Amino acid sequence: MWKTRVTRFLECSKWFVGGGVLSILFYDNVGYVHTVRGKSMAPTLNPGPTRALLREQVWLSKLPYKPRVGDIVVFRSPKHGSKLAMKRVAAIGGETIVPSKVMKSGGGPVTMKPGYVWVEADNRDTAGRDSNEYGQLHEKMIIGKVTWLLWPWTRIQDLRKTQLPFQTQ
Amino acid sequence: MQSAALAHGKKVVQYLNQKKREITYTVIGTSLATFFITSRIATTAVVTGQSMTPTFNKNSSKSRVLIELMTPVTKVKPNDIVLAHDPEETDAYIVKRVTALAGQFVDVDENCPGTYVRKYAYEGKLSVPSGYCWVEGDNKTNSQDSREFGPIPLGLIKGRVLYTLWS
Repeated sequence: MWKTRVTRFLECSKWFVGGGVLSILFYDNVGYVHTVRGKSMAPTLNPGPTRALLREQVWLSKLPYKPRVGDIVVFRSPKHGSKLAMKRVAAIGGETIVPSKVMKSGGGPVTMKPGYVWVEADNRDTAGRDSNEYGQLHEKMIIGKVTWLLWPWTRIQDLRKTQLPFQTQ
Repeated sequence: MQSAALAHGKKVVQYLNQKKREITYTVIGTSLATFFITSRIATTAVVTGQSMTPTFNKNSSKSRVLIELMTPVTKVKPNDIVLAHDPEETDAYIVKRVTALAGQFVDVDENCPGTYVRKYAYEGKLSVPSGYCWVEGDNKTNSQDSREFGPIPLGLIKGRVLYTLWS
């Protein structure tokens, strides 16, 4: 009697296991909805209060791609290996830029090593937990690109068309 | 007589089509399962070069090793051998041993200094900043590692190397 129950259970569970595997594969290789924490990308993202339910949600695309200037990317933080950060790409490998912090204090331009990018926060008022603090970021630390703002509905927009709100020549 | 043969023929075609479908599903299912396993659970890689002798490649130019991908980077410990993205070449990988974690100090070997060590060591020691780790090849005389390019961020580590499968 229990034998049929076990076989029936296995028959049903294969759908759960299959579904789970497909969801994880989708999450890893296509994308998912990601919560924006913090105000470092204001006013583009999270211009208002950032308590739990008021945080904005974006679509994080994990399709393979190469970082371009102006992309908003999510990457593993160089300061805390397990945490994720979200900033905008200001320069990619091979280019030379004057980082915004340096522009304020009048220093020299920085040339990107190939395979490294410079990321900056849109919000000029934050302490600048970006490349101004930890230097060039290795491309492979980037886990995905933010493409769409999904929540709140009133602010739905294609973020790929947004740009750096400041100059880095 | 003829209609019986036709009916039989139809059944054969149906059977073959069903078998084709079953094979297709099995192939797709196995491919997805393999992809899932090799991207999240464990995979193999070929280690080349002499930077990790005698642990790897003592008597050969390359070996295939088993790598586990499930340990979170915060649980990486000194003496673990890791597979990480090469900090000097975006699409390459390195296999090195972790010798120090964030907050720990690295003792500088006077006989095998590297560019980074020569530049930043102070009184024979170096400290590893938060979020980074120090990696070195077991073959100290023939290894491009943290002594050359400095500590690497934990985020570059993909997984830990478990053992050699064959060389």
